[in-house]
Amino acid sequence: MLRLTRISKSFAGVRALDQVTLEARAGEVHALMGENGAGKSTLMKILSGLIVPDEGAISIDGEELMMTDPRDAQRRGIAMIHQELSPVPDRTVAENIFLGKEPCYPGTGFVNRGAERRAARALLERLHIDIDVRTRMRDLSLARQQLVEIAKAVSYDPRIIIMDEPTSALAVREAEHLFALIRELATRGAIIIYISHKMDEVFRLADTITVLRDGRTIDSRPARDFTADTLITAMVGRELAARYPKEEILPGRVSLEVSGTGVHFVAREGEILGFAGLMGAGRTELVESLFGLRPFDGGEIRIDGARVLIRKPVDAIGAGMALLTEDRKLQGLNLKGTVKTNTSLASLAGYCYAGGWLRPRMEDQAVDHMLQYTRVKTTGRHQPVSGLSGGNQQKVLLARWLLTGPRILLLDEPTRGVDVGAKAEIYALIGELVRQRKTVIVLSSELPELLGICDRILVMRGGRITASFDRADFSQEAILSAAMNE
Amino acid sequence: MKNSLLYPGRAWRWVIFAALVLTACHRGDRKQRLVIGVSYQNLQNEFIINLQDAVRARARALGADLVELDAQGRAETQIAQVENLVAFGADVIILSPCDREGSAPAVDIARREHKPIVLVNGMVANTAKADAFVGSEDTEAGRIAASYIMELLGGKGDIAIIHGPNGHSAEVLRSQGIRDVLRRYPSVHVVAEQTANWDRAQALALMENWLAAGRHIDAVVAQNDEMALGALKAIQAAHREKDIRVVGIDAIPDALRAVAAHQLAGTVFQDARGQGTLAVDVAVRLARHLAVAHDNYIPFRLITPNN
Amino acid sequence: MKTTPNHLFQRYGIYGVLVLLVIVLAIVSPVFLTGANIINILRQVAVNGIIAVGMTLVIITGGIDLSSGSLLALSAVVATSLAHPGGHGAGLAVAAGIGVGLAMGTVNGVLIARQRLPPFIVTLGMMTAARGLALVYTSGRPVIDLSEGYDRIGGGYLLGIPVPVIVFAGVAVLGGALLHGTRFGRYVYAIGGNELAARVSGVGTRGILIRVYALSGALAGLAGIVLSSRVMSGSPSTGVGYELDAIAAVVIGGTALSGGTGRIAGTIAGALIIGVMNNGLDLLNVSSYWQQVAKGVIIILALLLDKTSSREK
Repeated sequence: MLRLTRISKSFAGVRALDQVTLEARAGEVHALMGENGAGKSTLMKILSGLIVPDEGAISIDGEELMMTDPRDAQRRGIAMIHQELSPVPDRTVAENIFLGKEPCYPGTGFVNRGAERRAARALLERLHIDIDVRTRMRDLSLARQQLVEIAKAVSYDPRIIIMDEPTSALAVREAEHLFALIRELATRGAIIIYISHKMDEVFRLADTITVLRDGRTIDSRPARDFTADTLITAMVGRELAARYPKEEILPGRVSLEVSGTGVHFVAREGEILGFAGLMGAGRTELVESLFGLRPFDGGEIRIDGARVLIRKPVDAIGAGMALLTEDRKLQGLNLKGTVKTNTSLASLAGYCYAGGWLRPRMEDQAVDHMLQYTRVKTTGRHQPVSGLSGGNQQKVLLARWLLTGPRILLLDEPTRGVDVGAKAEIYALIGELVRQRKTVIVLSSELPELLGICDRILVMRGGRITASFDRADFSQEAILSAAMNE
Repeated sequence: MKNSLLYPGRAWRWVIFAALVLTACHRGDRKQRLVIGVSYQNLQNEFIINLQDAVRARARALGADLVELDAQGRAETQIAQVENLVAFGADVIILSPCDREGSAPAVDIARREHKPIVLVNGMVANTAKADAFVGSEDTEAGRIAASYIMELLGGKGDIAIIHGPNGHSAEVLRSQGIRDVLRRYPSVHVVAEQTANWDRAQALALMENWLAAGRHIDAVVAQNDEMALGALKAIQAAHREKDIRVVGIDAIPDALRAVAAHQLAGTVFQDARGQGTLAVDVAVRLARHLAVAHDNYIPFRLITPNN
Repeated sequence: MKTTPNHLFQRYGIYGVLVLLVIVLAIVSPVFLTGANIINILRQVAVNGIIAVGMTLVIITGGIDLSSGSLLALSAVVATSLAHPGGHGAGLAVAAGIGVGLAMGTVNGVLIARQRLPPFIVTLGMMTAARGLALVYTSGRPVIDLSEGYDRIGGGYLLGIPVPVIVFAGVAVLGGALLHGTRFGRYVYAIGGNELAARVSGVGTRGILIRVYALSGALAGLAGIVLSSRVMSGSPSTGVGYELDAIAAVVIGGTALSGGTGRIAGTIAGALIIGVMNNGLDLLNVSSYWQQVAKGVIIILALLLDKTSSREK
């Protein structure tokens, strides 16, 4: 039994946690919910020994713990799986699992690689994870790296496992595997603290849900006592009209025609076209080809009926396209830059005199206007973009692209790692864009999201489009079966 | 990271070297020509380049073949070069050492393999073990320069010394020679002393700083001409050439011109041509098993506007 | 906020260090703050400062240019060889010196941007090759006997200010304007912050990188002209290790070697710190052994400052 009692923590006078209390019993999956900034991460950092609380107590089975160091937490049987993975890419799975606690030949510093491999294999078998322990980490998909990371945490035989958004990188099938694993760990008596933004997951998995808001415990009850709506209300503090606001807009004439090997489709003005599929189905590759980031062999792109040649992103931008990339940090943001430099990056040419000299006032006005339009919460355009929450970072990227005045927007996982409130704002923004007769193409691993906002969904598998559904025919089962092997 | 990457060229130097040796040996087969292996301390130094010119001219005149290697100022490279010269069958080795201590093992290697070895231009810690030494004594250069300044100043005044790189053998010996002389003049004060690493630009900045410091200086002894010319530049810019005399060492062409124009008070001529020529002569005699003197000094000569 | 004093220190710390150094030296040496000595310092800083401006841009992109010292020497020998009295006049010499730096810098840039080779290795290769070319071009001997006109670049004055100082100031102002006031400069930061993101946003990253290395080469060439005209000889062995001084100035000035951040003003302060330190230690006649120790300690202190600042983020 884990008990956190009246935990408080302030940073520079700002109260991040205020008398938070949480109780979890052995064998339960305990979901911790809340918007970004609600205090979930701080609480979990305290539980894993990274931060020392100002007041309050942590106890396991009635025994009070004093933790000042992550190693204390590890010794007490608390393991944390971070949202962002930190594997050593060029080492094998076995070496990654036993990093820092390699089995050695007695009396020497030499690693017993055979023992290490055997132990790793046994561990993975126990967890029903089918991965060769000799594979190098970099050769595994993100999802499988995640599984290894979980195995690594489990190898300590922890009593408490904290998982922070573990499925954010996973597609449906891999997530299923993970859920089975979590169930199994719980059955064996571990406490799983599960942080996620995905409602359906939480309702499937959690025994108990604790909701944090503004650093306080708002509610803590068995999961069955919540409904999606009451949970959202608890998290956001206000009723969201609907999770997926959908306005009926009649799609107009065809704006984009694409034909390549296995991919033929059109998209219309005022239409939201969804792309569903498992991880590795080729959706991201397709939009990257459209945008000139990779060759589109034998493919042809027509915009408003005229053929366009796109060799590099600047051609695509010139043709009126915008691409919100899948990975915010890797391909989107300049985390060393400010809100302003990130927002204006793709449209700088518009605020320059001849010769490339910037027109600062013009740039500032455009940026400020767009930040307001996309409702980015920031202390000002000079704030480092790294200081924004995930949702606001995503809105900065949307602002960047809207400043280029695009007619066709390709949005790859537009709400990944974004909290409920920001999600709703992004959906509203997408709705606003189609109202302006723009074409929006959305790629998402969250099927409910696609079902909620799209006019049409195309399903991809193995780099080909295998099915197409109109809104009237949407069905989660049909789309899933088209995405997996029929 | 001081590996071959930082100093590339090691690899292809060996390729060129091997090719040179092979052609040299090949010719040797036919004509029984003498092969002299030379390891120069650093062919980026003008004095050593002049030495090389003399070595080449003399070898051609005597009908000997040369295998020439550039140690680029690194003693460890030089040791490896001597090992390879021995292995590839040079008849005699000429070594212009980079470093008094660091290059000493090269002499041991040659002795062990019974190859005659001639030191030129610089001494090593075990000079006695070499078959011969050809060169000038750096302490003497220091003595000549300092004595000349003492003569100009009448044995009293404030002087500044600009050193070569700290610990470099020529720096150590020239400093010693200068000090030997100054010790005899109690009313001479060394008011400033600093290294400029044989570099003209560094000496220029150094002299500018000394002048700015307002230190009283009657004369500057620079341990080479490049630095003397740098100091002179700063002095001229401050219009102080009437009060401060500068003397250098090496007699490079630019310095000789400055001496002729009465800008530089003097320089000390180290005879590169004489050293190179004599080194080849001695090497050839050793290869033919003829007797040679162990120490062969080429005297320094003071160059002043009057000669 | 808790971080504010730290933040101030980060942002202005380096200028504080400079001011502190100046105050200390002014107290211990009466001549330090004289006009003549200040001119002196600025003139001595010019060469390193000119290189460091180019280096700042390179490092902001996340790269490095190790070839500056060698390109300086190559430019010096090419320029001086065209500056004999009664020759073509200083104009051609200057154009040739800058041109050769520009050309070699472009080669660096093309290899780095188009062939995707690591900047460290490419410019390391160029460092050796350019030094070799300078030696080949001169047969290892310095070029001497230069025209009066050429002397005026390094030794002349304009309105009482030495020409090298004016050149340095011009380079600094133009470099600052380019970096902070143009689209090009914004892209330089964007590439250093996240090259992939810049490319997705339509930035021609290759072209920008090539231009950055070309500029660094051209400025090394310009520095070679200033240096060779100051000493009135073009030595192929000059400028050894100057790239490291420039890198030190950039890093002391608060530009992280990981790229994406940095300012020209910081670099100027960094170059001045090095120059003031050299000058002050000479004024005080500190032994050259201790001078080396002092310089090393200052560079490491500056890095510590840089590290604290990056940890704050």
